[in-house]
Amino acid sequence: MLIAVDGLTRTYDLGEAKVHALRGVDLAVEAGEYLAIMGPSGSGKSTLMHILGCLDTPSTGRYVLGGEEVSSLTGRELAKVRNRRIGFVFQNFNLLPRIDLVANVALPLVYHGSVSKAERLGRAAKQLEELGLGHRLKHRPNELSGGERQRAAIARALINEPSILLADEPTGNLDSKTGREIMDILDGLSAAGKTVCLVTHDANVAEHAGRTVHMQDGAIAREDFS
Amino acid sequence: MNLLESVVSGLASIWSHKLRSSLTLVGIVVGVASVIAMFSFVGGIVTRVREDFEQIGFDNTFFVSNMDPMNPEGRASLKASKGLMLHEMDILETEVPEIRGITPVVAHYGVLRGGSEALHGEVFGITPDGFILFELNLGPGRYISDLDVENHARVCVLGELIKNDLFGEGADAIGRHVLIGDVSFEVVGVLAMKEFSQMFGNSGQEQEHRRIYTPTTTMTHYIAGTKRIDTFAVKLYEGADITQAYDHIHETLIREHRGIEDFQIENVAEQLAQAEVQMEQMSAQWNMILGSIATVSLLVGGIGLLSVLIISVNERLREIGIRKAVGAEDRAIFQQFIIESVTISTVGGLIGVALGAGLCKLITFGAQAAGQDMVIPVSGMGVALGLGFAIIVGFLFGLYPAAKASRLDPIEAISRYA
Ligand SMILES: Nc1ncnc2c1ncn2[C@@H]1O[C@H](COP(=O)(O)OP(=O)(O)O)[C@@H](O)[C@H]1O
Ligand SMILES: [Mg+2]
Repeated sequence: MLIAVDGLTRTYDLGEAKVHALRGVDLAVEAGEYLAIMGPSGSGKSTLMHILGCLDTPSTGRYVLGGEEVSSLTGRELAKVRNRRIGFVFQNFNLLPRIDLVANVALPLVYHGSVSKAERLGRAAKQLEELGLGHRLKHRPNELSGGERQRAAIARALINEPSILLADEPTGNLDSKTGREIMDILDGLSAAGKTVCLVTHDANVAEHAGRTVHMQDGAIAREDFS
Repeated sequence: MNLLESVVSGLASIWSHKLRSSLTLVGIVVGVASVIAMFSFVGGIVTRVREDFEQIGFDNTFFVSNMDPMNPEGRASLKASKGLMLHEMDILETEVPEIRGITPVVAHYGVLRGGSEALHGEVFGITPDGFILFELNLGPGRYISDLDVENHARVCVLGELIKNDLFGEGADAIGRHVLIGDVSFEVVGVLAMKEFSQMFGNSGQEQEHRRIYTPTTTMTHYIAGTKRIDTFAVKLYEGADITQAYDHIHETLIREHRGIEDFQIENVAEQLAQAEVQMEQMSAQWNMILGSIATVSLLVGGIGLLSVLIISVNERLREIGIRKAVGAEDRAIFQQFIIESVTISTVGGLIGVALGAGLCKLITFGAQAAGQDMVIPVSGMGVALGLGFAIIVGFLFGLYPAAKASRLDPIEAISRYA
């Protein structure tokens, strides 16, 4: 089992009001699985993804990633997990605006440790080429289309060869044609054996996955297998 | 990310916020420039004055002179004592063991003629020792000799400037004659001016070279008409006890003058020491003023830096969040912002060094344009301290923003931006 979460809750304390974004989520993901999470807006999909991506910590509950209890990890170890074992793709790409695509894609390698600058840039360029952006290496994010930006963000997520790719509404900001291009990439990665876990609104997108988890009010309502 | 890359990214971040960065830099630039100016100006001036003092070389010299006859007390005492007399030179020389050399000076001011010129000028009657004592360098010809003194010889040595005035520049004056009043003197030597600082010593040197020097005896015999001496210039042995020498001279002369103190003994070393104390007080004041300016501007620069970095952290929450999301440790973010802060302050420091050095050069240039041979060397100590302070300011005022940035939660930082 690659991912196992158990009774996961996440409560935002806003002083007077408490927002229960997650109210006890149990979920298991096998290595190599292709999983979609669906649900209405505000149902806690992003919150769950952030916790799975070690970008956020649960209020209560257990999260075991690759056999390791995540809540017992130090800040440095969490950074390492984010760096090497998880690739995260955001709805709004989250590329750094002031540096070019190669530098953006090479960023996880900067924090990897002893990778020389030449090697970093070489690997980033190669990754971008694989995703069809070989002609855009020196461009800055704002010079690119949404689809190109999302492909660059995927390249960045893949650069450290993580064991799992998490994508929070990766097609949410794209038109349907561009969205299909992105889904082709994710399908390809899944076919190549990568564990892929994505959030979407769109039933057509969810169809690509082998299993769909439906969320409602911070909990899992049901699961579909296709 | 290695240090060089961090510095480069720090510079890039300064460059992308030019206006804001330059505002921050102003305080640091002014602070560092003040530190450098402080050390260079004060150091430069103090060194200059010290050098001038040393060049004058009057360290262990006494001037014994008649009390100013215009002062009523002095005039009363002159009636009972005749004042300093030529023969007292020998008495002082034998009775005061500290004395190495002594020259009796008789000064005269009147009409001088030579060549086709006539002008008013000063004549000093001195002895061969006097040339050594006053450190007068000979050009062509010879000095006045002991024989000249013995024989009341009507010979003279001209200062370089008066020689030029009387006979013209480049003309040979040796063997020609000068009329002092209506007495004719043969020119046996001409002095050569020394390279001397203009700030302190040159007016003195100019006076020396507008004079004619003759044997003291010739002066008393032909011109003054009395054996009264204006001044004994006394040089002590190196390392002689100045207070003891003063007491010995004083005792001897009081006895010779039958208890009447119609003379005064002045010591140049003492005056120089006083001047030096004043210099030091002055430079302490300068240090205070410039030090306050430096402290205040570095503090202002530091606070500016602090606020700029806080703004920068807030503006770059998303960047920080993204970096953390892809695996940056807290330490890496902390380091990034500290290096950025130190880079900004170091750039400010370097501009400050350039400004401070430029200021020193400008003052040197200005002084030289105004005919002052004054050099303000850029103080290495000032540069080191100024840069050091800039770096410390960058580090200290960068600590809080860097810590703030490094402790941000990744997803919070990313989403708080939107
Ligand atoms: N930082 C936050 N502070 C307070 N409430 C939050 C925060 N983030 C999310 N929420 C709330 O938690 C709930 C779940 O949000 P989210 O996980 O983003 O839902 P989804 O991604 O499914 O739209 C929502 O009600 C949302 O308003
Ligand atoms: Mg969401």
